[in-house]
Amino acid sequence: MTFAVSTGVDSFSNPGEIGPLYPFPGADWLFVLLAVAVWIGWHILQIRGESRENREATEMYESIGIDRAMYHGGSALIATDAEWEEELRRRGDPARRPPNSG
Amino acid sequence: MEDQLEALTTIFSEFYYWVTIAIMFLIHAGFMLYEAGVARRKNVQHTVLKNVLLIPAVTITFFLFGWWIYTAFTNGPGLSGGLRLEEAEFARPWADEMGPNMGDRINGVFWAAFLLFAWTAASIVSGSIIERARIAGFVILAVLIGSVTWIIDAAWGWHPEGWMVQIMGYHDAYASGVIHAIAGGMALGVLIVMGPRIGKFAPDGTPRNIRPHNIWMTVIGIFLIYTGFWGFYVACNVPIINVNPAEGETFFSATNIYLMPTTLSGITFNFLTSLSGGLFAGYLISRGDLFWTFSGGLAGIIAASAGNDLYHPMQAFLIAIVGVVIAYKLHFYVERRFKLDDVVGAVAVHGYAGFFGIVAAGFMLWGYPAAAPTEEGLAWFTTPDGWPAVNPLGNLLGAVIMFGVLGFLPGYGMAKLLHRFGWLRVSYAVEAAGLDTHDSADVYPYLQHRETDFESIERAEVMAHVGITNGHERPAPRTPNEETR
Repeated sequence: MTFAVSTGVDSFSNPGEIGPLYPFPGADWLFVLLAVAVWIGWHILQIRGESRENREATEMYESIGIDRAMYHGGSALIATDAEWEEELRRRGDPARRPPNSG
Repeated sequence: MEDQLEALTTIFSEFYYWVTIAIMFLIHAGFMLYEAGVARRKNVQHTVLKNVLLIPAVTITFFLFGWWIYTAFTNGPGLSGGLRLEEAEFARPWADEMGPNMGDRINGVFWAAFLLFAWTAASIVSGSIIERARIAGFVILAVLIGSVTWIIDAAWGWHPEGWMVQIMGYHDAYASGVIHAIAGGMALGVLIVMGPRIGKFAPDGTPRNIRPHNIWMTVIGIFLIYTGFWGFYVACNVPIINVNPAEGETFFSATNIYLMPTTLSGITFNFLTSLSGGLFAGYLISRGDLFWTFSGGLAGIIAASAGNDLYHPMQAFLIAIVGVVIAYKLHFYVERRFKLDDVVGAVAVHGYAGFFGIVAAGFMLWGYPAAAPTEEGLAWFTTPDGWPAVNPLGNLLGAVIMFGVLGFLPGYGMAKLLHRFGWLRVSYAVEAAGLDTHDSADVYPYLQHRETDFESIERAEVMAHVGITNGHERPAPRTPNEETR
C-alpha cells in the first residue's frame, strides 16, 4: 500500500538530497504569521488582564483599608472582621480595631 | 558531509554549542533564585513569574527578527555599508535553515547561544525593578533589549564584520559591554522613570535597607549564574578554525567571537582569577556582606570579560578588583545622590563594571588586531599589517554606545511610553499589600500574618501620604510616581 499524500519527506533513501525535514516546507511564512499573531495577542491579553486585576485589587484594598491588606501580605484571602478581631485578640492587641469596621 | 573528518568537525561544532546552551540555562535558574531571594515574601511569586515570562517572549521574537538583525545590521546600516539582506537570508524566520534541515547543522545552535545571551540581558533588567514592576510592561522591555537593542549592539561590536570593530577597533570578547553595560544602562533608564519602592527613602532622603527575604537563596542563585557563565564564555568562542591568514598556510586554534586566536585554556585561567579578584574585593569593600561578596564575584568577571581572551590571569585578577570597587562605590553614591532604587544592584554590577571593563581593555590591549579587515581604509587605527587595531578611544566610545546609546536611551524612552499608558508599575495600594496578595496564596503559609519592621514603616508611609486607611478616605494615586515625581 502506498500513500498519495506527503506533508514533506516520504523517504530517507537519499539523505544528501533532503533539505528541510519539517512538514509543509514552503508554507513556513504561514506559520511565521501565526506566530506573530500569537506573540502580539499575548501582549494584548496580558495588558488587559493585568490592568483589570490591578484595578480590582486597588479598589478592594482602598475599600477594606491598606492596614488590613498589608497585614495579610502574601495571602490569598483578606480576613473577615471576625477573623481580624480574633487575630488581634490572639496577638494581645484587642483595642486595635480593624479598619473600616465601624 | 561525505567524509569522516568533515563530519567529525561539523558535528563537534554542533555539539560544542549545544552543550554551552545547556550550561547557560543555569544562568536563568540563577537569576530566578537571585531575584526571588531578594524579593520580600509578599512579592516572590510575581517576581518569579515576571522573570520566567521573558523566556517565551524573547525566544519567539528572537526567532522572528532578533537573529536576522545580527547579520543584517553589521554595517549600521549606513555606517560602513548598507543593510545586508542577502547575507542574512539564512536567518529570516521563514528560511529553510531556521528549522531541522539536513543541509545545515549550525544555525539552530548559534541561534540558541545568542538567544541565551538575549535572555541574560533581559534578566539583568528584570532584577533591578522587582517588587513594583508590572509583568506586561517588563515583558515589552525584555523584547526591546533581548530581540532588538542588544542584538544590534552585537551586530555592531560583537561580529568580526561589525562597523564598531572595523572602524573603531572595538574589542569586547566576553561581552562586558555587549551584554552587561547595555543591560545596566537600560536598567538605569527604566529605574529613573519607575521610581523607588514605597518607603525605600526616609523623608530626609536617607536610603533604607529593605532586606532580602532569603539571602541564602539569593547567593545560591548567584553561584548558579557563575556556573552558567562558564557556558557563556565557551559559547563566545569558535572552537576550532584555521587562524593563519597566509594563503595556503594552516594553524588551527580556538578563536574569540571576532575570529582572532585565543585558547580555551587561557580563558579558563582568566575566568577563575577574575572571579577570585571580584570575590576578594566584594568581601573587603562591603565588610563581609554576603550579597555584595557574591555580587563582587560576578562584577569581577564582568569587569575583566572584555579582554579575558588575552589578559594574563593576574591582569584579570587586578582589573576585577578595580572594577568591583568602582561598581560598589558608584552604586551607593548614585542611590544616595539620585534616590535610585536598584533592588539587586544590577546597574552597578553589570552597567558600571561592564563600562569600566570595556575602557580597561582599550588600554590594556592597545594595538592588538581587532579583526581581519573587510575593506582597507575603514579603521581609525591599524596594526602594521593594516588590520583594525584595539585602542582606548574606540573602546571608550564603544562603552558610551553600549551603556548610553543602546542601553539607557531606549530603556528611558520605552519606560516613559509604558508609564504614560499605566503599564509600567502597579498601583500604590497593590505594591504595599504585595504583588502576590490579590490572587496567589502565601508562598510561606506558616509565616502568614507576620509583619516585618520595614512593612510597618511602609504601611505608615502609605497611610500618611496617600490616605487609604479605609474606604472613606481619598483614593490612592494609581502609581507612586504621580506622588513622588
